[in-house]
Amino acid sequence: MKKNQWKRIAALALAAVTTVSMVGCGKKTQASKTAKNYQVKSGPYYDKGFDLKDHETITMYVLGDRPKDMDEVLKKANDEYFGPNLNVDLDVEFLNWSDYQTKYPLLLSGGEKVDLIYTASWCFMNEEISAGAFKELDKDFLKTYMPYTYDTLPSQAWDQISVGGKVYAAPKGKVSFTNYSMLAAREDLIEKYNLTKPTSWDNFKSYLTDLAKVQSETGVTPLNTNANREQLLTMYEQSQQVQNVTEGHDFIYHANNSEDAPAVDGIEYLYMSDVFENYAKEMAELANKGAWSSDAINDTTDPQSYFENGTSGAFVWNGTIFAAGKNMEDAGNGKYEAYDVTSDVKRATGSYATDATAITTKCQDPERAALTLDYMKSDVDLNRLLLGGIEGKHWKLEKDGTRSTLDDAEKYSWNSWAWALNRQDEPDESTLDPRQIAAEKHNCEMEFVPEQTGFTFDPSSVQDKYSAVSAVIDEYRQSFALGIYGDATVDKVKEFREQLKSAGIEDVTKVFKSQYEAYMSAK
Amino acid sequence: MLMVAKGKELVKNIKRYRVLLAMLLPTIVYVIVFAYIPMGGIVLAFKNYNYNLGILESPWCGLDNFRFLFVTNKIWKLTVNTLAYNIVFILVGLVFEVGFAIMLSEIRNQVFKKFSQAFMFLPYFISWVVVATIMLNIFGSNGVLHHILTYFGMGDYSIYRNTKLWPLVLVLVRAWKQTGYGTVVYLAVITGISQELYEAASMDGATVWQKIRHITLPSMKPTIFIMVLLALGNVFRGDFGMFYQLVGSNQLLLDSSDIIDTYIYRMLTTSPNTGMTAAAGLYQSILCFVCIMIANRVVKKVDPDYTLF
Repeated sequence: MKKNQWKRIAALALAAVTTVSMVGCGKKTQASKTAKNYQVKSGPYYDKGFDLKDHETITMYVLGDRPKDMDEVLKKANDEYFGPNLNVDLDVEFLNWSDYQTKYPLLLSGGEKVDLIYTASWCFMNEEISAGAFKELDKDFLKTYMPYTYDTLPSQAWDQISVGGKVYAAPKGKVSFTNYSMLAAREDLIEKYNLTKPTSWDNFKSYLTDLAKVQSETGVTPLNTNANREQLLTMYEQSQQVQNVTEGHDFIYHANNSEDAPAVDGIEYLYMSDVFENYAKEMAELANKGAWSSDAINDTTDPQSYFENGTSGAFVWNGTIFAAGKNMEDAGNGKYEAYDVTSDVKRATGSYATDATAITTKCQDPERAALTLDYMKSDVDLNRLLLGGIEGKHWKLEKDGTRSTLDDAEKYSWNSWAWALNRQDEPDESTLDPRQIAAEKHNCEMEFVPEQTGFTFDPSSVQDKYSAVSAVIDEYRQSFALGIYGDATVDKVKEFREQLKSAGIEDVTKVFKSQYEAYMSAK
Repeated sequence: MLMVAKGKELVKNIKRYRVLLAMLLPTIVYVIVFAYIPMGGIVLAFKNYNYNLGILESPWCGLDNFRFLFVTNKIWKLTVNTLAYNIVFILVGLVFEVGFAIMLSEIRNQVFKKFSQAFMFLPYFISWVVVATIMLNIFGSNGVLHHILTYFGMGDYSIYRNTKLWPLVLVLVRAWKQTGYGTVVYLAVITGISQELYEAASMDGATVWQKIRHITLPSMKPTIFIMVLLALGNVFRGDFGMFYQLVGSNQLLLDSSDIIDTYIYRMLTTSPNTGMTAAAGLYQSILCFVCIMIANRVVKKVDPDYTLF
């Protein structure tokens, strides 16, 4: 009898588990539960001929981790802004950093409701456009449904975001020097062991090798790095005065601080150039001298956290180095100083296409989605609510126009996901490190705006070769960056280039150059 | 007349076996929904897929999607690597799984038996990501092994620089992780063998070895055949998680341990393309299909009782 009873309980439990897992498949969003119909009687979009009668839920997907206070912020945004002014509820869904690469394409090809989605030149923009996932935003559509965005963004932004002369996404409102590499070094160790200050590329190398010599004493790896982030390539290119022809593709030329467009013959594919071979040799030399662990190639720990926890002597990246340095100091692991090893070299801002928002082709009401997106960018208060959370709870606006963080800031940190929505007038942090302010000022003074700005490359006509080339690069890149081949580096570069050739790099280069020529002659 | 009779018989049979058929129903639905319907997606391999136009309306593109696999001649080497690793995995797995199942069945101390079985089973639940980290911390150049060897003055050591060892490392790590799980099936078979056979053998004075050789192993033969045949059905699909996590982007190791799955992953994560992905999947499926057909045919020749179909 007892046995039977257990069997029944087990069967019931199993049935319950199955039902629950089935329920998990269908998803109710937070916003749709609280949906109510608003009568739009005022606001920026009232009485402009837009049909706002029916209530809609607009679902937007962005990258990052969902902030703890997201629901509270969304509720405020919906109750005070989207509802009364657009008769819309906004629902924001997050694609986690660890798996966005697989989820992103599936989201667009699958049946999920997606109206607005974050995209970027580095986040599937070209691929999804050619797959027909994004709605084309022509001039009339933009002027009508995204009036603010259309008027305020500079023409340069629309140039950079367009693919084949057409616009498929609305870019962000403010660019910064995200592609320029600087470094944070351990000033306490420099003082204690009298190390070379990393003021130039060569001095930086000396700093790393000096630090390697005292590693047994300090326990600090000179550049504790991993297999996921190539820290030194950009900095090396800067030291060689090399610039990319266009962001996101590895075609380079020797700019030597001149903003003139390069001649077609002067354009090289990075991995086929002398610049790369010399870089590979220098990396092998650094690896040989113990600048990083020989197992870095199999390590996946984030190098920023290595610097923050005091086990790395340097951290190379964009403005993020200041945050890393501050975190390291706050944790009491040492003292940092920021260095710009190529301070006399001009630098380009990141493209506007680095962060953008697209309307999907499966969006049922693209007009309302466009209005929603436009509203997020046009209304200062709403924009700041989405970027930084509730004023007075998560952040505070100071008298001088800067913003300071409040106790709850960690539950909704400033601009952790809304990069594509930011505005030119986004307030700076009040407690900005003076070193960072100085660096940003210098960046602006040295801004590089080459003549070919606006040119984008469309590899779709050689897609198979382009994919094969990227597979070859993925196979070798990190191994060269971490100098694992030692004395065999030059031979390995040869082998790598043979592989690139057989993958079809020459054809890809040809197409790139012909598109470039066509663009320049049209200009 | 005959048709009507047959139809009546069918209805009668369905009625008679209704309970059994109802029990089969979930499996049939499962297979149809998750195996047969998605098979229609194969057309994607021959289409230039566009979300707007959908699967049916997207334009045909012939074999274009397959070209990316063959632009570098790598695919042959990758196919051979994948096949070779899997065959070794199957053979080594078989020896370990059957061997440990027999050993476990011979252990008389119940506590020790349960204890060792649980310990063998444990690695199966550890994800490859964690295994990779454990390996790095034991065998890496800052790892435990290195420190022990340096302490005894035996020089420094890192498995990641010893590229020739890697095929062996992969086989051993996999055996460590999978044996516990694989053993369960064989252990179940051994439990099912009639005790009378063993008792009779004991009466005749058979030793433990003789019992294993003449009773246990022959009784396990059908299951071994089926398990190997099932494994052969996936022989061209590499264990992506394992190779990707353990080898990562270390090109020195990739030379001997790159498989179809990791290559396609590297190729298509940077430029995702539904058509090309479908083409790669179809390529592997066709090879697996051919392989299992041949294996089944061979088994049929040897002993028709042991075939899958």
